[in-house]
Amino acid sequence: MDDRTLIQKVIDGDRPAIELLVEKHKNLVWHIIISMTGHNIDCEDLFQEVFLQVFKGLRRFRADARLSTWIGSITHHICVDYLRKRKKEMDYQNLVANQKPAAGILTDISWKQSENEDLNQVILAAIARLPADYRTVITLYHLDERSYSEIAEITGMPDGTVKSYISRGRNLLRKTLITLIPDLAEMLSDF
Amino acid sequence: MTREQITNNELGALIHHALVSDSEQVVPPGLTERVIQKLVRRNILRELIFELLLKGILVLVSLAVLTGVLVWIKGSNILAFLYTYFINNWQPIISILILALITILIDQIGLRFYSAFKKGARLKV
Repeated sequence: MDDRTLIQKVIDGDRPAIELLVEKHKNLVWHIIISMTGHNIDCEDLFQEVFLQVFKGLRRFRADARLSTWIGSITHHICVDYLRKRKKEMDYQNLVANQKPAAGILTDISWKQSENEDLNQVILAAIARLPADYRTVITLYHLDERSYSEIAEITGMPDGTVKSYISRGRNLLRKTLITLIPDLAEMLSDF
Repeated sequence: MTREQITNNELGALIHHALVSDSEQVVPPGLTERVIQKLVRRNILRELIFELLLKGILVLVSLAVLTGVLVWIKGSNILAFLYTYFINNWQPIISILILALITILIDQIGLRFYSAFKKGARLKV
C-alpha cells in the first residue's frame, strides 16, 4: 500500500490502516527517540506523543515529502522540545554551539578481550557517549539505513552537516575503539 | 605488516551490528498496541464530540428560528415574557437543563464511545 492510500485510509478512520502506519514507522520513531534522549522513563510518552501529532497533522501532510521522513522530522522536533524543556545536560545545546564533544568518551568503558560479545557493548557505550546529534545521525544512517538527504530532512540539518556529523562521529568512535582495543584492526582482518 | 586503522566499511559494519544487537533499540512489547488503542479512542471521542456539537448547533438554530417566528407572530412582547418566565423559574429550568445535558453526554458520548471502542468501529480521524 503506497503512502497516499495509507494516509487516506487512516484519515477515514480505518483501524487496520492505523495499525499499519504505526507498525511501519515505529522503529524509526523509537530509534530517533532513543538516540536523542537516551533510554529513559519518558521515551514511551514521547513515542505516544509523536503518533498523536502525526495523526493530528495527517490532513496537512503534503505528498511532496516521504511519509517516513515527515514522521521522522516530527519525532525530531518533539525530542528537541523535550530536551529543551528538560534542560538536562544531554549535550544537545553544546552540540548546537559546536563545542568539542565527548571529552571523556573513554571513561568507564572497558574492553575484555576474552568476551567477544563485549565488543558490541563497548561500541554501544561509545555511541552513547557521543553528542545527541551525532548519535542520531549515526543511528539513522547505520541502523535505519537512511540516506544523507533523508537524515537532513528528518533533522532539519543541511546535507553537508549530516555528512560531517556522521564522519566526525565515526572518527570519534574509531579513536575510542582503537584506544580501547589496539589490535582491533588486526582482529577484523582475521575475519 | 600490521594494520592499525579500521576502514569505514568495517566500522560501519561494527556499528550496525552493535546497534542491531542493542535491546534498547527494540520498541517495548505492548507499546505499539497501547498507542493504537489511544489513537482509536481519541478518534472515536473526537468524532462523537463533533457530532454532538453539530446537533447542539442544530438545536440552537431551531430555537432561534422558533423565537423569530414567535416574535413575528406575537410581536416583541414575547421576548419580555420569556425573559420574565426564565427569571421567575430559573431554578427548575437550570435543573432540567443540567439533567438533560448529563443525560445527553452519557447517551451520546459515554455509551456510544464505549460501544464503538469495544467494536473497534470505523470512525473518522
